[in-house]
Amino acid sequence: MKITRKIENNELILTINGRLDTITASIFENELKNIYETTNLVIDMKNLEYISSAGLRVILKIQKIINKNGTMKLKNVNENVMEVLNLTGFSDFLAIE
Amino acid sequence: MKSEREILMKDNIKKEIDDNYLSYVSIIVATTTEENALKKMYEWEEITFNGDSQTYYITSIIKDGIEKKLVYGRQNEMGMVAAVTLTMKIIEHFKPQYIIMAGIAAGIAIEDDNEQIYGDVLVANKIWNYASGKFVSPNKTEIRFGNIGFIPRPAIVKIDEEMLSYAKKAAASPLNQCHVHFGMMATGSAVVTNREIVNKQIHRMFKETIGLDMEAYGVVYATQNATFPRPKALVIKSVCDYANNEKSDQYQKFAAYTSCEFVKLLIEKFLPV
Repeated sequence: MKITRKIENNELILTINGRLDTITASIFENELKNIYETTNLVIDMKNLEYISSAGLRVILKIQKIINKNGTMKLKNVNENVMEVLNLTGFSDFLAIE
Repeated sequence: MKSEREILMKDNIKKEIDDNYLSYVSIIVATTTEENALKKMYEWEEITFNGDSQTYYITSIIKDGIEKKLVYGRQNEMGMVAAVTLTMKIIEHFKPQYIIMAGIAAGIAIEDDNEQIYGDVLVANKIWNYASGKFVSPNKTEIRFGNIGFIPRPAIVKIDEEMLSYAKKAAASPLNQCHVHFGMMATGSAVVTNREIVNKQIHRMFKETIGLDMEAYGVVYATQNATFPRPKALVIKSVCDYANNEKSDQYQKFAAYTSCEFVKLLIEKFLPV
């Protein structure tokens, strides 16, 4: 998994490439530790091939922290990942565009 | 000389002991959200029996080259009475080798470095019935709710160590995608959305209690007191709320999903044939 960052219009945009599973979830979480001050976070999932429960757990942890001061949204979610988000109810409470 | 009835009873008992298991694993769920998550895991076929209003679902998997039957049933209502009834009927109809209760629960671990997040899997090693006790005058106990006192008389069931060892292997496996906690669970007959109940009635008795539900004690009690061939039970439920006033249904789908995902891994890779 590879993560790229950029700041655009006062938003921190993280683009995830590859798989977000039990092996890569901790890498993703560590990558995000120093961005908890960020008020507006966008996770670009256009290159995310797969997300497991371990990946969803990290998303929940980030959302819990970011929601205190700012916003988090997912964008460019592909069909496979969207199916998982629907199945788990994440699409009901996450901002997805 | 023995009467004819005594001889018949003896023959019946011998027959039951000689019977083999008819199915591999039976899964019990209590709500439609849990059932929906389970339905996505396999292609199930509906099955009913004359004289029984319950609908069961059956499928099979190939494990070690052998076809193994899986069965599930959803309780007609939440709670321990329905849980015991369904467990007993499943044992009677399908004689499963293992019974697993899957689904959702409240995460109530006292906060330490083992943080519970929505969707985390709870595997019970002991389950106690926290609602068992006596209502008394408030001056007769330290557990008080206004003018009502409560003296607990907790009953505990323990999960078979061998079953826990399979779950521990599954939790430690690189195939596992879930965050799994092992510990004590408590069962009661009411939905809890008040942390005062957790503090006074549950953690006061067993502070190591990590989860709270409405069925698990009944399922395990029923399996441990069933007729032969007696199945072994496991409770695998995931955190959907924290039994406080912020409780909502928002995370129930995710919790049901992770619980069923871990159950599937356990069945397919770690439970022995």
